[in-house]
Amino acid sequence: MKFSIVTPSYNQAHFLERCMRSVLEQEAADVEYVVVDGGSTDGSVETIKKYSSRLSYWTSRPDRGYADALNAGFERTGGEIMGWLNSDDMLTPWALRVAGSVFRALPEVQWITTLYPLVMDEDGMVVAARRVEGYNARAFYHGRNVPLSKNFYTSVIQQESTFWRRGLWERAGGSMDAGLRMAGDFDLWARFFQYADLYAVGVPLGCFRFQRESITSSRMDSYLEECRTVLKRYPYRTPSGVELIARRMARLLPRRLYPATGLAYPVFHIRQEGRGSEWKIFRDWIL
Amino acid sequence: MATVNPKPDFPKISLVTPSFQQDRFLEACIRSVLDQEYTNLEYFVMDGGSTDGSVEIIRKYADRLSGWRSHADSGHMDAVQEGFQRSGGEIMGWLNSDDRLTPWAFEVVAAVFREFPEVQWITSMYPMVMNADGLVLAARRAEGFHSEAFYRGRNAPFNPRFYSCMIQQESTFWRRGLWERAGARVDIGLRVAGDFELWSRFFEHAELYTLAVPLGIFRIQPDSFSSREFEPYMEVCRRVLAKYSHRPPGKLESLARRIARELPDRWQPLTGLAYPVSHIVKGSGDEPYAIRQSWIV
Repeated sequence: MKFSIVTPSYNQAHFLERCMRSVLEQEAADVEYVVVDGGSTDGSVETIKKYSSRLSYWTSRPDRGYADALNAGFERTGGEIMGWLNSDDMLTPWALRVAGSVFRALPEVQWITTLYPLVMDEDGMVVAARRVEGYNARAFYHGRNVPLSKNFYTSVIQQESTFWRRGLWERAGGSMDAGLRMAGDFDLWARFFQYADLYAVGVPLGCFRFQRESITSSRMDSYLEECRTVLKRYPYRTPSGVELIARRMARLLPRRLYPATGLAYPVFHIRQEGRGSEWKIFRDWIL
Repeated sequence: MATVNPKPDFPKISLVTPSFQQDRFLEACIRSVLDQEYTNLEYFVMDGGSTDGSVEIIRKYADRLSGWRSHADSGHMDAVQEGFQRSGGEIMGWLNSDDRLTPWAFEVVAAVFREFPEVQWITSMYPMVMNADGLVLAARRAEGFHSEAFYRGRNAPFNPRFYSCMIQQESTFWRRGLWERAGARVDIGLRVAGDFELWSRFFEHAELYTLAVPLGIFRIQPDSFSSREFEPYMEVCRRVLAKYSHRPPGKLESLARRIARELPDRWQPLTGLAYPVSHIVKGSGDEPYAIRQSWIV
């Protein structure tokens, strides 16, 4: 099962090598790796050249930003499973092997992400994992995965841990929205959810690098603004105050009673039980 | 994957791999240690006289090892003990020849021990497993650990009503000071559950903290859970716990615990049945590590 991975790069020479090595040094995976650089002037190109013999394509020239670079990259690929990795992030060494094994075992699964997103600090030290609750299309459109409504939001969908089949990508339009400067991933997820449920695999797959500048208030504000614009395209609204109170009370119930409240969303996890012999889908409920 | 910014003041870590006839897995094990390029590592591979390809693999990496040997010994724990006796690092741990560490394990373990002088031993909150082919299958979240719960059987699988999870050996690291206070030895007479016996002595001196980063990956082998391996393991756990005065919960207490578990998390301490457990976690952004407490029932 061939993977197509694209790295959009622009003046992150500091981090790029570790990012690229995390793709090129994957355990047992058939990878087609494309790096699209936006004309960096900081040494990124030297790093890319160092590994160019192992890349299926690379380029370095000015582009119109992130989404443009991704579109240019994905156009050069033909693998069945797709994903991208930003130049400051990394994959876990087993990510593509695990993802491939899941997609092979479960033909009905169109896209996956991890149940355990990892975060590293600015120096690249892996500092935290956490367990997310899982994902649901309706909950997503209601704002569950973007920090707009504090009382309803729980976690974002970690982009570097998310992989999808080319068929889903094509049905959802086959390109990134070049009109979005920051929330291109969020928009893509919104389109994917029109066609397929997102499954969370119980293995850490990707690692996000926390950078101070990435959460400065102005950047965060424009990210949230774009997410708001994306969500407005769909006929869902965030839960009302009354509903939020009802949800909060319902959360006091034992988990197995969640579905009885009528408020719970089903979420789907993929894992292997006990000794492990095959990937299986499990349903859980979130409130 | 190399440690990007090795910090000169990182403490010395002593790691031991006991090895015997596992040449299929040994190289992945050794590389998971050496590829981290942790600058202050002391690594010993203690082979029990393997006749498969193990020795060739060890020789291949010999110049990066602090020491190795290959001769008959009296078993797994004997090899671990000899490795530790030859070591001098401040932080200690062992890695069996069929298991692996995550690529970032040492630097994060070192950072946490440096940050919290009061922490004597840690394990991962997210133990991971792989199958016999090395395919990573799962992480899961451990609830946390508490000495009294441990002595009552929380971490040994013979009391299903109270048992929650084991302490994953390859994800566990401790300070040499704790090792010395606990007798500076593993029980070399044990063929299985030598780790459990060591934990029982550690808990006499210090609580175990969980760290919210995956550190080790256990390889599930076809015979790992077979009755041939499992019964003797449980038997040792039983014998170890019998040395302590704590007793597992009876029927009535188990029922009360089951009811208490239905309560929302923050009400659980009010039941009087809950044990506090400590986690080392990082908030969002560049907040430093912090110790957080939660409760297990």
